[in-house]
Amino acid sequence: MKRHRHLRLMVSFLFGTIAGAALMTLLYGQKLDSLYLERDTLYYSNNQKNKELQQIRGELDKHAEQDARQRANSEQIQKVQVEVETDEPFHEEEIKEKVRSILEPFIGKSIHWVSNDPSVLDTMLKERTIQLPDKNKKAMIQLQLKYIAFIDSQLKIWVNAREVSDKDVSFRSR
Amino acid sequence: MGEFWSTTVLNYFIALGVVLGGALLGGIGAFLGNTPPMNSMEQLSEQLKIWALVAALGGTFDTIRSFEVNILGGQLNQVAQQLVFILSAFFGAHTGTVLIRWFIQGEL
Repeated sequence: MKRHRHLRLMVSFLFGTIAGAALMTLLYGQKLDSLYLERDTLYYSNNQKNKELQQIRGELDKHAEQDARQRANSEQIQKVQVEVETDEPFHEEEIKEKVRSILEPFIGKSIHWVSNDPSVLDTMLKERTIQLPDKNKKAMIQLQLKYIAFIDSQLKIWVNAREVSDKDVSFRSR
Repeated sequence: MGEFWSTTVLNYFIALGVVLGGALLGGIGAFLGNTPPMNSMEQLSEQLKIWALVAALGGTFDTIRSFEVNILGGQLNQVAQQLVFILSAFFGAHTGTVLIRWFIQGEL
């Protein structure tokens, strides 16, 4: 008898559980459905975003690779541009040409190397005297480095050039 | 109430109970199985309709066989009774489906 009572209680409990679950489904089913829908939408948009992210990451890698390649090329001095400040405007182009030829060994050298130690350039040009072919007289021009700048892979330098008389010059072989 | 009417009402409610109970408990199962419960209930109510009819009539084969026997035996009122049983079971199942649909969609 006692066993039967327990069985009845257990079955009642089971029925109660089922009834409670059914009631919960009836009460909150609508809300649950909309939550499931929202979850599916979020899954979908999340997947889309992930795909987009993968695509952008791939593109970024590609661009980074291209940039690295480009940078490797642009990190070398490709061209030397010379600006001259002089009292001899008629000799400006010749002075520029001379200075450019002095600095020719820098073409192909690393920009970092030069920018880390710009005194190399200064040493090259310090009190350097160049001779210009002049019909009337022997023009001696002394150079002095003023500024340097790097524009992409181009080395731009500003040089002061002043004419010196023969007696001012002490020739040094270079 | 005569036996005919009591059987008719019984068939109606059996079919109704199969659809309502099946859909409701199926909804609980769907919730436990991580699927939308209301949507599952609506689908189940449609799918269970035919099985509710079968369950209410106690197996289609017997009913069809009784048609044969009664028609051949000339007992047409028995055939009409069987038809009413089928119809009552059908209406019971249909009522269950419609009730579930109204409940879920919230409109008539």
